[in-house]
Amino acid sequence: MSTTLLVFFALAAISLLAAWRVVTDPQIMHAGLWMGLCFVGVAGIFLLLTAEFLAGVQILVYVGAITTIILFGIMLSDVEEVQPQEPPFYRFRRRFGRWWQPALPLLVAAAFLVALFTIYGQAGWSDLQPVGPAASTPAGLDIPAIGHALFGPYALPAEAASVLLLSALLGALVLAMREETLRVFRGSPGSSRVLQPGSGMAGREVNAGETDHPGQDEKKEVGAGT
Amino acid sequence: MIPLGYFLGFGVLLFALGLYGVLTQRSAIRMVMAIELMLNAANINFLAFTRYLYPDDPRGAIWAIFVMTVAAAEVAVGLAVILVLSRRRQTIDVDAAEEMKH
Repeated sequence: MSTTLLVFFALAAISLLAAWRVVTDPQIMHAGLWMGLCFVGVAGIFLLLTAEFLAGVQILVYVGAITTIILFGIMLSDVEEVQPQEPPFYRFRRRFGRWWQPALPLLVAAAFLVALFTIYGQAGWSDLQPVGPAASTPAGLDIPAIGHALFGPYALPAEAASVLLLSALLGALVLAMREETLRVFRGSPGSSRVLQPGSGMAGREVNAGETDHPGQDEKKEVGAGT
Repeated sequence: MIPLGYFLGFGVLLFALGLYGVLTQRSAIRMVMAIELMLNAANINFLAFTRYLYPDDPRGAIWAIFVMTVAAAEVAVGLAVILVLSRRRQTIDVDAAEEMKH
């Protein structure tokens, strides 16, 4: 067995184990961290596919940004589901009370697995070897080629993607804003608050005094208990 | 060298795990995580096919970049929606948001 194959199996095992923990870990915070590990493993797989640029982007975007945003989301939404939850299927069990019902999602996933493996098997791709020298980057995954394509024939989609990112940024900001802050921006007469540096936080403190702090104490207890 | 089937099999397994997660989780944040796993599996397929079948075509890599862009935008907006849901309802259980169901 060649070294490349060993590396592939190690990376695949790490990623799949981490992905399994993402969907089963009772602590949602741990699930978020496992997701980061899974993305690192997938970045290694990208390197094996000689897609160096995509591996770097994978680390930057998925591990650096998306995992961090999701961990922030977990910490900000301080609700019961963020606490350790009952194992999956409890809702199925309560609703149907049958032993085979919890297996339904498993069945769907397994059917999908079998169907795709069958399709891939019939297509005859399974034993395909890469064209050209094994270790060198093909022209399609070369960084200059990607750059030329992205800012040549695909410049318009790239611009559209940047507009999408900007609108997602603004949309997320407006959605997540507290009502008080929004009222200040609209300048409605009901608000006596003047927008100053930190005035968005002032509304937060009013609410936070009642709800956030007890929740954080609970979280600490849970963290200490596990 | 690694045959193409190994990469495809890995992608399918990762996608199936994500699908299983979306179907079993009741917390909205968990569902977003599982969707991210599925998007990653799709990216593996794009790059594997580029490497093995179309080595001179940069379109696979470009698709993967756009998938990452959309994933980032989706997570940002999705988590903002979940944050508003958790503030108004004190829950992020997707079964709790059912006003528009009927």
